[in-house]
Amino acid sequence: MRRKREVTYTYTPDSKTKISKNLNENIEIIKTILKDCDDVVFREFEVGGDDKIRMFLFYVDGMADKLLLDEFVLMPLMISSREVPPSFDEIKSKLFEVTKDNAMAVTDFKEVDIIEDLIMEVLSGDTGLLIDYTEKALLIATKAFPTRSVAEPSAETVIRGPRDGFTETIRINTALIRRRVRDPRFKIKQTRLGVRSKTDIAIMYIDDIVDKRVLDELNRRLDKINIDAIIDSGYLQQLIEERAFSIFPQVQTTERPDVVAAAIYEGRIGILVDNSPFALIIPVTMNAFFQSGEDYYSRPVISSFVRFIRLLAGGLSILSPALYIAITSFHPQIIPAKLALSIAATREGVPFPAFIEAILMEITFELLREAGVRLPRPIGSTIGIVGGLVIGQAAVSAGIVSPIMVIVVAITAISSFSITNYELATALRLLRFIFMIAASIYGLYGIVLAYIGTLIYTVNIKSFGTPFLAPMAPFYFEDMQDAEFKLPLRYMKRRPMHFDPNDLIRQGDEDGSQ
Amino acid sequence: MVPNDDKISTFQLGLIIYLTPIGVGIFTLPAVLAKDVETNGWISLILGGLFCMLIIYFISDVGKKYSNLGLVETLKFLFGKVLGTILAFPVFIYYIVFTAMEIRIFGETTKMYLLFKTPLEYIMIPILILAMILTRNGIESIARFFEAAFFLIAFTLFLVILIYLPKSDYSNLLPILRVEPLKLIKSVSDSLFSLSGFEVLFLLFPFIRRPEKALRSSLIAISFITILYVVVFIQCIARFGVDYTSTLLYPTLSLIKSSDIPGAFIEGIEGLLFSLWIVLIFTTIVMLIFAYSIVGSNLIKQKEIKHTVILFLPMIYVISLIPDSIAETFEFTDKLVIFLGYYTIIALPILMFIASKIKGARG
Amino acid sequence: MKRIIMLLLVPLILTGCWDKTEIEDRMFIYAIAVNKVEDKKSESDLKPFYEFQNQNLEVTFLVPNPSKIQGGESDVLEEITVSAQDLPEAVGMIRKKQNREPFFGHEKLLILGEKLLRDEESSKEVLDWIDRDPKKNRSAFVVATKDIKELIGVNPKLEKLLPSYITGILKNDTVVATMISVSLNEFLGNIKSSGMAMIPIIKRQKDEIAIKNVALIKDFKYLGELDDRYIRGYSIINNKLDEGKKLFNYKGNIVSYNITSSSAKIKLNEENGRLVFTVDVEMEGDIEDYLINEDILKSDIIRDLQDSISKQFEIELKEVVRHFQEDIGFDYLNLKSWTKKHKYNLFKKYEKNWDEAFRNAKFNFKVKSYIRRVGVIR
Repeated sequence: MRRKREVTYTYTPDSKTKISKNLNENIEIIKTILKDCDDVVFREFEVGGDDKIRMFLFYVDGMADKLLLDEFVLMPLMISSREVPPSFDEIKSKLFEVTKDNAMAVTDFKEVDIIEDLIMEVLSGDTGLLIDYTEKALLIATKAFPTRSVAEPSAETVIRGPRDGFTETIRINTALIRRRVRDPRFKIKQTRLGVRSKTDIAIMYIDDIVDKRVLDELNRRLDKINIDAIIDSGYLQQLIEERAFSIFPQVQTTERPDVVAAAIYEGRIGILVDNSPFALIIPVTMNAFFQSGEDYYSRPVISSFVRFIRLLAGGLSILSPALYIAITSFHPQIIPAKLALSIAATREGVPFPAFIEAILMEITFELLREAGVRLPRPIGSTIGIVGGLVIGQAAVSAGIVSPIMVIVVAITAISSFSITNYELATALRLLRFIFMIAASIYGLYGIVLAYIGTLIYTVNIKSFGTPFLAPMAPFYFEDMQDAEFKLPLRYMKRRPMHFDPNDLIRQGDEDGSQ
Repeated sequence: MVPNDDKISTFQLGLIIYLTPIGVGIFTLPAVLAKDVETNGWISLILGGLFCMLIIYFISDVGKKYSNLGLVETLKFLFGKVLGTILAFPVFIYYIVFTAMEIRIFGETTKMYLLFKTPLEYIMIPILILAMILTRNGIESIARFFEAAFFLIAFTLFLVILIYLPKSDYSNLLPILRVEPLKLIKSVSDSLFSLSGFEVLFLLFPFIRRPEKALRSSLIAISFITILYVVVFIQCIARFGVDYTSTLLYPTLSLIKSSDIPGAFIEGIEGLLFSLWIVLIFTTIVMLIFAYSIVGSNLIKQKEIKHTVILFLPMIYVISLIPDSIAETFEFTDKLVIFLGYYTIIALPILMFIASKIKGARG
Repeated sequence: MKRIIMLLLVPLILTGCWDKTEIEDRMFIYAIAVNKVEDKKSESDLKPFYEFQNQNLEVTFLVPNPSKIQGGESDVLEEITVSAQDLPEAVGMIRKKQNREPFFGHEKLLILGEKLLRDEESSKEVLDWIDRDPKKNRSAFVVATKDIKELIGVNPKLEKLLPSYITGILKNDTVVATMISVSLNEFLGNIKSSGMAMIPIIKRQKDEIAIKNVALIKDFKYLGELDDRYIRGYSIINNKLDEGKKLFNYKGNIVSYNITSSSAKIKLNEENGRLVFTVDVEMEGDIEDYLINEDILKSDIIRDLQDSISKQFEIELKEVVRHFQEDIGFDYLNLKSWTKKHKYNLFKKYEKNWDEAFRNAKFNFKVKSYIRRVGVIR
């Protein structure tokens, strides 16, 4: 009756093998593909009373919910099925449908008829069920791998605002967003990227707000990606950015679902990557990097003030050492005479020129910062003490640097920490060194040259078609409501124009749509 | 998503027309006017502004008609191929020499006020390189740069006015209108040339998204510059008086220099203000380089503006170093104004306006 | 292309820093004192080493010593004195004596010796040097003195630095009526526009420095000394008075009137070929001491006091103007520029021989003074 066929099969990523009627054949192929994958559990069992039907179930240990399989799949199939009448003959012709529709108490099924696809899904945590004499396989959603619970994001803390942050599981993350956007027009499009890793990627946008050109551009860039694995959203970020060498990020990253949801409501696109708690937002402007989600929850005057402080921090973190060099080595007439004299007095014993002094101290600070990040938390505080003593006291009393320089370094440190976006803060740190070098050659003129250079560089950056400096350059008067200062929410009737959303109206119903 | 079509908006055009004329000219302007018409310099400035607006009307009228042609092509269209090229050539020379002089005077002032020992070449080269990089990125980037720089500049100008307004003796501006009319009319040309740079409007027409709105935004820009110049002139006179102002080489810088903010963290603010002013000069240089590169590439039939920028840059550098002293530089600039400036700023627009009317009447 | 630019920038970085001078290598010149020592005219213009022929000027640079200030020592001001033909030469000379780079951006004070001011050529040279060089601080004060050496020896009682001490006194001119201060800016402006300028004179009084009298400069040349008592009137007519006192006589007692604001309005007419200036002065002030046994809080007494003050001011102003017209003979009251601004026709008429017209002009004064406050005692 049944002939055992010789299976000659070799796996290639593109191969598509149809599930055959012969269960043994299928099992053999699956076992060939998953050879030496010892975390995969294979279970062959029989169902029914006299005329037994063989079934085959396989899943990845640790990624599937065993309890669910035991109680709601195996239990009804193996035990309960014996107690009810329909005989094998009755159901023989519609075996698959009966199993699917009548036998198992599981909500989420999928039908698959390609073995490789089935394996793909099983490897992401689902369970595959093959039935004899059937050319289709059932895929039972049993994903239940260990996940970190939703916790407060560690890099973006707020005083006022929600405390949930993304986790490493894409499902939980999409749920966090969906809870905030309960609009059927809100789409979560999922694809897989990475030839080997097959990482899940979710592209989220509101269909009638998003600028379709940006969406097309994103899809075009995603299609171009041909990489073995996407480990983190950082991989994806680098692969979709326009300028690979740019020091400024052209994609916003955040750990906060509320920030992503707000961006989606502005007509931007959020991207989630499985295994990464960092969501990506495109397009992005410099402006967005100086804002925090908190700005929108607290009082407008206060958040305007805070934004001004952040802007000031940005300026200071780039400029303060450069200004120190320019003023002390080139233009002492800028500062009051008494201050100039006291700086001169404190620098009297310092063996280095101001430029070397500044570079030394800034590099020391960078080392300390890096060490602080890398160190395990219990030892982390030691670095603070060492740094405080080395920079603050010993260096000054040894006469290697002047106390004013310590103040300057402290100012840059504090201000670079008060920028909300970590990536931008890093970029500004790099710029700081360029400004310092320019200042050491030309003084204030050098700072201006560096400023012009930076400006030329930034006006040329575009993030998915949106100029990086918008809404300042190009200037959008309407968007100034939410730039350097923030209007009260009730007056912010429109979505930011520089993202070119399809539907501009945010409040009120001037054209009837919401 | 901003369309990548190499076009500028009306606001950006206005900004370009506003920032291009403000450069090194304003440094010397109050002295020139104080010498010629004493306290009535501001009247001369306003008259100059009005005259400039008239020319802008001519330019935009012609420009609107042939908005996708550009200056050289329009000239060729109106006057025929040979004559058109001959007429366009002085414009090209004008922009080349103008750029060179702008950079030279910038270098000289920087040397006087900021960097005393740095060789002139090393002051001029970096700003030339930066201007070249920006110009090569095309008009869109230039416009965005102008916008980005403008906020800082606006803030600075506001600050300057705040500092000087209460401290001066405004009775120095009297008497009003006690000047020979002939002298006043003569000085209007000085005022007009202090606004030179606005004529880049002609070259910008192919890049304007809505050419019909160009006139309005240019007029607004010119009136703002006129206001700024009048304020600077009044401040100089109120601070120094007519006689002293006319003896100064750079009265505007002396004005900045004479400031003192009581009890402030900053004592000599002039260094900072002058540094910010460099950004203003930079915008002028960029626009002039852009202007010559457009005219140049039309003349030599080079499609890529990028290449024309580099092609003529060494020439500009060499020309800027021709004058041996600061006195020679000023003489050189005056000659430029007489021979090429009158032609480019006054004669050519009027000529084209008339020609386009005749052409329009015929066909 | 970008690589070529990079290559161009590399030598810049390597060879840069022409203007770099570390702040501790600078010599912060706080004050320059210039005087003339001898008067030798150079014989011929074209001899070799022209500049070494004579050294007419003695220039003293006052430089604070930063480390002494830091160390809390008392004698922090260093004097560097050189003799030279002119000031640029003098700066060159201090470079031969001191390693640090002279820096003029924080110059606070310019002290001009009397002998220098008496010599038109030299003072013109000194002032032109300062005017020409944008590195100089234009808001520095200018003072004149007889003996610079004597002055520099003073050790201020409360301040550490002598120049700060002197500029501090000069800044008191806003509350003292009989004193003026002149910044370099104003001084140069005045002398270039009208040829006339005033400089306060400082003198040593035992171990202190006092401002006493004003030197009148005409066309870069010392003209004479103006006594302190005429300065209040000068300030009132020129609308330069911020605050000041006048003691006046009321029923045989001395009462102090503190002027808090004063405004003068000038009118000009021509009568019989003579200029007639009518000056209306309105001033407000407080009574500071009052030792008369009458209730001051009555309006008729206040009015009586006001009349008395006004009358005495009128007398004072008349005397001030007479002093300028007859004793000095030049228009230091800036009436020429006032006339130019407000009465251009008359200015044109008298422009050629203004000094003559000024001397012959007639002055009428109308002073109205108000007492606003009398303190907290009746």
